[in-house]
Amino acid sequence: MSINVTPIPRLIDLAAPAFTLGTANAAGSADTAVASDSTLLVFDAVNPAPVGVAAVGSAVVSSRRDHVHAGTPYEEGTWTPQICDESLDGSGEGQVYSLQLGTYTKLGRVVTIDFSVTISNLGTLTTSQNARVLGLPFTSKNLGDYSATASMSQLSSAAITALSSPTGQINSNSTNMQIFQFDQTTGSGIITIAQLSAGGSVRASGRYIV
Amino acid sequence: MAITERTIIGSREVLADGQIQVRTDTVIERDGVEISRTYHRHVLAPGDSITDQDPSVQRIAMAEHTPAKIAAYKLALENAA
Repeated sequence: MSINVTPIPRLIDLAAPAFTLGTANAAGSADTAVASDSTLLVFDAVNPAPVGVAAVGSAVVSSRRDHVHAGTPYEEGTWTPQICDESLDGSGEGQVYSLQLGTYTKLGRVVTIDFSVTISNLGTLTTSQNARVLGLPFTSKNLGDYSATASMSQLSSAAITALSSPTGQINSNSTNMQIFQFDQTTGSGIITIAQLSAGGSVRASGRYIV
Repeated sequence: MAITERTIIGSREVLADGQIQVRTDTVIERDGVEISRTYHRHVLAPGDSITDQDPSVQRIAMAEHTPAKIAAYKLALENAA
């Protein structure tokens, strides 16, 4: 790592290993501190980027920004997407699936999901109700009107308005994603179970906070 | 050399409203030494069936998913709809 500073700051002694201008610090090495108003530029593989302005007195920034800070929880794995109506029952209404694949990566409080689900039998799902994808790996943040978005790459065998752009919404304190489409002159409307068909697929990627 | 695979419940987290976040770990071992571990997650909400859950999760659910908590969770869902 190389650091540009303007004006040249006074360095405060820190625990070893010592900070050295122009020398690559190893991952997990000591933090860097400056003692005047300075913008720190940190170089990673390609470009420098400011990581903060030191306040008068002293400031401490991470010595590297291209690795996960120690202590930031990281986890990756799989989950099982299901399709349901507003009863939020992913299997008890006779649904049959031919594909259920969900993956997640959780870094700190941010969960990124990708999934594909194909339903071969809709069972007795209530046709008038909003179609949802159930089974998210973590419950979303419980914060009032919080919602997050999932982008759909595929919604097949569905009866929707052409060019209506289906999208997913993950609400507060939830483990399901509601499916919407922009088919209203006033905004988005729900996609109902009636608009799905046996053999239909939903593929999407999204991100939410826990 | 023996390669074995087993699943364990690696994590159970109970949220304030009774939802239980469960992580199932699949552990691959060579001669008893772990060489790989993958995760699968699901969330059990108050009122969900616990029939197919691991006994350790069932025990937590039976303690946490009281009628009052199930009713409160259902009410919260209705209010959010």
